[in-house]
Amino acid sequence: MPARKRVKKATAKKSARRTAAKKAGKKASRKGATSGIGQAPPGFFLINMIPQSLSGETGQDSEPHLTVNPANPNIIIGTAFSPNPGGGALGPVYKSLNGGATWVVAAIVPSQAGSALGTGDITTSFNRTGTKLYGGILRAGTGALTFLRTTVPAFPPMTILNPPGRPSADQPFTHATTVTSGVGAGQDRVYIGDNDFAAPGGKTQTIDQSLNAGVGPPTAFNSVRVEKRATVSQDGPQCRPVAHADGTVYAAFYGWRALTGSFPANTLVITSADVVVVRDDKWGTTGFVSLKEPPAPLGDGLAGVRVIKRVSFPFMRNGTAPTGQQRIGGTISIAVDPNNSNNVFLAFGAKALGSFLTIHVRRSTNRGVTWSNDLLSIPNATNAALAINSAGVVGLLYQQVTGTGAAQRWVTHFRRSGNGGVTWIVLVLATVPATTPVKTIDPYIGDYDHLVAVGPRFYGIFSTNNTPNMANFPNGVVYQRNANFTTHTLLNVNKSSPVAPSIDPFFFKL
Amino acid sequence: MPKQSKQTDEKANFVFKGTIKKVKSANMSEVPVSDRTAIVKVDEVIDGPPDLAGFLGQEITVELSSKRAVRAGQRMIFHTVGWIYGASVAVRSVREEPIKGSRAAKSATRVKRGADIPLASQGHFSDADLVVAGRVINVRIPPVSAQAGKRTARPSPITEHDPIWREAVIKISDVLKGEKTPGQVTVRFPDSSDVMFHGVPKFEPGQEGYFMLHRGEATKSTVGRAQKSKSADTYFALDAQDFQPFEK
Repeated sequence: MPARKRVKKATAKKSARRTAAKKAGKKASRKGATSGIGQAPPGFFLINMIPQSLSGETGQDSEPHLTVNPANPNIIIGTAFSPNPGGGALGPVYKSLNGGATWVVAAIVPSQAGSALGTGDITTSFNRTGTKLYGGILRAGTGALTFLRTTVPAFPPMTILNPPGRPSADQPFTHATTVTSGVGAGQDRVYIGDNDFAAPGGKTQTIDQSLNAGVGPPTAFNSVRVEKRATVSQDGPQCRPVAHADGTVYAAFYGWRALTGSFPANTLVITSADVVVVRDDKWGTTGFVSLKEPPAPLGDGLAGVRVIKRVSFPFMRNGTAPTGQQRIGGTISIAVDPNNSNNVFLAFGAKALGSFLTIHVRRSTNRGVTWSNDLLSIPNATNAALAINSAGVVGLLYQQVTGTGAAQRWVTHFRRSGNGGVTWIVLVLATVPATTPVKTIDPYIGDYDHLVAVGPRFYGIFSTNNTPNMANFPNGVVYQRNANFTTHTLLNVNKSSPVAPSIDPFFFKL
Repeated sequence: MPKQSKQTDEKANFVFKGTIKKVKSANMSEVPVSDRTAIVKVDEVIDGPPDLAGFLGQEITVELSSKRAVRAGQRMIFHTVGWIYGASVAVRSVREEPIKGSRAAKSATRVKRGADIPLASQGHFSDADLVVAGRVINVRIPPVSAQAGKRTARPSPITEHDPIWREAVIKISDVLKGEKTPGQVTVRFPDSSDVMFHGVPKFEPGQEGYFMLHRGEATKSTVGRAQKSKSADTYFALDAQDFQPFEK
């Protein structure tokens, strides 16, 4: 056969194979759309973040958070309730310099010498230029709300920006960015949502913000009280800020209006809470009053739209068997479209019949003024985390309890939608026993996990049972710590002594 | 900028005898190599956490406490804290000392009146304000103080980090440190299983052992554990090592 014809035939064959693969992929996608198994997109990657040198660890490394360097997505920082095994006055972060392919644990977080904890609540965020990493923690030992900063890529021990920290606050949630043009160009803006029990009048939802966080310490932070309505005496712990490059800053939180029961007795129920979204159109400089309800009778005229009113959910001291050992206390996440700050997605949790917590996802296309009905409704689930990528695709990470008794499982899902939430593609990241290991601390897997988008890619982190069994990770997984996937056994540093299963943080990207 | 605490003030958590294999070097790419980093073989673990015990006989990276002249083949005792954990481990040395005549090289020492407190707890012994041997005879909710009993405009915050304080009453059989008259002592502890109180001893009636106690007061923070205070009259056990059961 002449060479030209051979090439043509080969090209035609290749094209036919590609078409067949596409068809097969679509078929698999449709078939697996409800199972979420076996159809991870190209580039999907999931890894257990525990490094090989800590193969013997059995800690409950729960409540993970993640930030990806927007200027260099190869640099990623993760956090969880992990101690510094070698002690010292610094607690650890998880660090990757190659896009998550490998991870180390590095001690850079101000802690307390000898702490078995490492750090209390911790979240971190790179600025937009990727030159600094900011953090908000409850410091080990004192519990003081502490704001941190370090430089990239050296990551020296983090500097405390508000010495000596501040008592009586909870669950700092950090979001950092950089003004790219106009007034304040080059300044780092840092927004740390927290529940500040020292706030006057029981209106505890707070955004501690710095409009120039790259200077100091001391670095100027001011507390913006975003709760404008009467509360039961406080709000819930979750306050989630997110900023757009055009200076629009959103935040979402639960406003607690009524409760019953006892927290120490593990019977507390928030019987009435509003899911509130606030907005500031000028980097937080106008007090987050840019989004207001209409006056009566349509609303109350106050800042912050109540997306839904009077939801109810348990606020548990301890996780129980029906909740997969995880304490339940609501979940909230908000994401803004990087291409259009008018578009916002919100996820929140509320109790429903037959479900200890149902995740609802809604959307606004007019800057939070009005909201859709539920685009998703997921029962017995928590740890909702939303992100929107540069193509406008919205991603949702969450963890769901299925089954009961010995058959009970924690299933970690990632869903994505390219059509505004009309249809979703499901991916199962992990499906693990919910009764093993038995918890030693609360929270079991965490009061949150996290998802971010940089460019077209999604990056996420969650904590779950680390038994090395490929059936538990149906779309694949990589382990750094020593593990035998045939005997489903973790192995110590010596690669022979078995190690009991525990809870580890897992990183994924796609 | 606030002063960072000097490295020499830190308490070492991983103490070992080691042999320097290579100076100005590291065995992990993530470690910034300098004049102070060296690859060291762990010859003997003197004291350390279980997670690092597996490095006996292995080479790790040590950042020396200061620029000092060391050479390959040199043996010394390293007092270190954890730094970077990857395929291997890198630690920061708080201080180094020669092996000969080292106190750390000796086995667990006996303390007063024949009590035998493990070496791992001896640092906690020296930090404690009161060390007793005894048995927990009761656990109760702390009595409401006159101040706390007053009605306040606002109830205590509801937070997952609420310590949920309890008191353990210890019947003292021996006083090993401090000036407490033998009898009873009350220890306050968090009954919460929240992560903020991970590792803090939680007492139950019938527990017997050594109690290394610290004067302190509940922090103003609703999530804090306790703050040491020499003037306070409440005792706390702050760390897992502050309680050592009697060896059977």
